[in-house]
Amino acid sequence: MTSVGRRLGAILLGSYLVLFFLYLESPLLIIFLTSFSRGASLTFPPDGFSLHWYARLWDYVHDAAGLQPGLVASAWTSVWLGASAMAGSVVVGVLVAFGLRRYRFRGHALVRQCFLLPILFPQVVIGVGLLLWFSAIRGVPSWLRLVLGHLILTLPYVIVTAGASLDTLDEKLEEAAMNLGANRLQTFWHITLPSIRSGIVSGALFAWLISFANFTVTFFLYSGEMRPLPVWIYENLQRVIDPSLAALSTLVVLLTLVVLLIMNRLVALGRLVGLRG
Amino acid sequence: MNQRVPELRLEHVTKRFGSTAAVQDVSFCLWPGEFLSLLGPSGCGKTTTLRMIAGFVVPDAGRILCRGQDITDEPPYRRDVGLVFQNYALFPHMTVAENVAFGLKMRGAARSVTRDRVQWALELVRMPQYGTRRPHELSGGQQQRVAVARVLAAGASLLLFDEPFSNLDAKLRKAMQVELRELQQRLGIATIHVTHDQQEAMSMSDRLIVMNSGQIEQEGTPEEIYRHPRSAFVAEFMGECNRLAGRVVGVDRARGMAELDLDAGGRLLAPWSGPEDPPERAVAFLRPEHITIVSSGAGGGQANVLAGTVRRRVYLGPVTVLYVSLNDDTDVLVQCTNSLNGASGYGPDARVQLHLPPPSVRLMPL
Ligand SMILES: Nc1ncnc2c1ncn2[C@@H]1O[C@H](COP(=O)(O)OP(=O)(O)OP(=O)(O)O)[C@@H](O)[C@H]1O
Ligand SMILES: [Mg+2]
Repeated sequence: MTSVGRRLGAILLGSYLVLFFLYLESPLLIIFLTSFSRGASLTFPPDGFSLHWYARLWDYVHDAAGLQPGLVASAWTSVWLGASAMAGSVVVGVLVAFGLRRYRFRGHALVRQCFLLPILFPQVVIGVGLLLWFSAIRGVPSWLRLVLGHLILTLPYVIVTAGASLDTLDEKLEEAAMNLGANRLQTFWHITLPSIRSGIVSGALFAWLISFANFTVTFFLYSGEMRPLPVWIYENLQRVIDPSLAALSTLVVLLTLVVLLIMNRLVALGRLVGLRG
Repeated sequence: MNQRVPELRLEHVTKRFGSTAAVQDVSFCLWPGEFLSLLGPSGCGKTTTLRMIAGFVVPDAGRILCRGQDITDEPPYRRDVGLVFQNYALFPHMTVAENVAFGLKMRGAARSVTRDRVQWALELVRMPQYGTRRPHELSGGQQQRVAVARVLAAGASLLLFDEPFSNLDAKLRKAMQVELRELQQRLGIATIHVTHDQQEAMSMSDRLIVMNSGQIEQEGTPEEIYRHPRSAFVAEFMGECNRLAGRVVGVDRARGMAELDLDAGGRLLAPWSGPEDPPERAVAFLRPEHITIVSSGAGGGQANVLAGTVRRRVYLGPVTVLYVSLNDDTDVLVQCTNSLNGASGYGPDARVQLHLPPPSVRLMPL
């Protein structure tokens, strides 16, 4: 192959990657650009540039001009809901992954797949199903409905990431621990858990993000006083259509990115200095 | 000597995986301070035996006793048996010192006791200055030393090694063999060592157990087993061995000798002391270093002298190995010690006469 041909190939491949990247990120880009619009309508392309709508957002935070509960309460609900779903799916997911590795039985592979099914279901189906279920058994408070609903969505991610870490864990390490006098619980705590720490952390990160961003299932389970952020944005979108929502969405995306960075940093750092779990 | 209580005793231990019998009716003792090697080809059940002693595999039948106590059903963490894994299995998220302290920590030892004992163990393996390193910062030999220190610090009263040297290069392997053996003798700690390398087993062990397809073939000191193999399998597993088949034509009970008419031509006298007559056809086994070249040129006719042609000559430094073809093209290996004056002078195509001294021949049924 000539060097010209190689150059051409590189340029083609490069443009392909850039175009595809732009396509993937286009929703975010459009929202991002729109949030700086000067006009009052939520349209693309934006006309002019201003930070006006970010200021408007600040008003929302202050005098709660939107729906009740206000923006701040909604944001807290989402943060807290994500944390609960994360904690729940880490505890349950790690134990499930551990159990699945430990006990080999007929139909093992099938059961392992079944734990991951909720990722593949249409979320509308999960939402409707849960709604029916919760109206059948009355008295489940709305916060618990939300946590249980989100757990269904987040649990598979922890099972996958913790399971993948467990698959690469050398069983001889656990045997060595037992040989040195550690009982099963001690072995799990001192050897197994620290060895799969990065899998757990990334599963936890996924769990929080999935819960924080979820709209569909949340939409079927929320109540007036428990209105997570995605639902709050959606309902405001129906009442007031102006670029302040684009500003809010941009902030949410930024927050998500910050969380990603922090967690990524934690995992990498942890590996570097060998933090113990 | 049977008054002593053995450190470890296996009684008719059997383990099968599905239809394969990994270990079949294995019984043996390990005496205090003894270094015992389990030797055998791949898949003969050595690792399974070791894992049963450590408690990771539960035998289907039989008992395992540790100093007279039945430990067959004890979980691994209640046996003070220290297993050194082939890949060492050091905990990657802990420092060397934390690795060595692990067993003590699990048993709830006081901090000062732990510190002293970790120091003691690291000094034993000549690595006191490596406590703060991590396992991946150590060479293979150093990792192995840490693995040994780790089981010693945990208070093992018995050491188990599963192919401990297979990840080391040839030179380091020799050095570690010597070092481990010296440490084991200094501590007087009973040890079982698993290997498929007969050189390694012979150079380290007080006693050997040769295994084949899940069963014990023979048990004894390295010399006993090398010189008096009880089966064709052991004879051939314990080093190079010539095998000459033939028909038994006579037995002299008074002298304890049988006479063999070799398929390759010639007659061979071999010791035979069995209570029954040897079978009609038998095989004579003979080590290459026991054969001597009596003279060059043709001739022969006497018993235990065979004529042949040198086909190949391999110079190995201290010895030279000659591949000598007999009349029917069977090859006989002859090993000559090289003297100060140089290697033996026989080259390819030289006609030679081999002397096979009767006491060195082992006769076995075909
Ligand atoms: N967990 C297991 N499941 C099924 N079969 C097994 C298992 N462990 C061992 N075996 C079988 O038992 C037999 C003995 O295996 P073992 O590992 O004890 O051999 P070994 O003497 O240690 O061999 P090597 O020198 O290759 O390590 C083999 O046929 C092996 O395939
Ligand atoms: Mg093995």
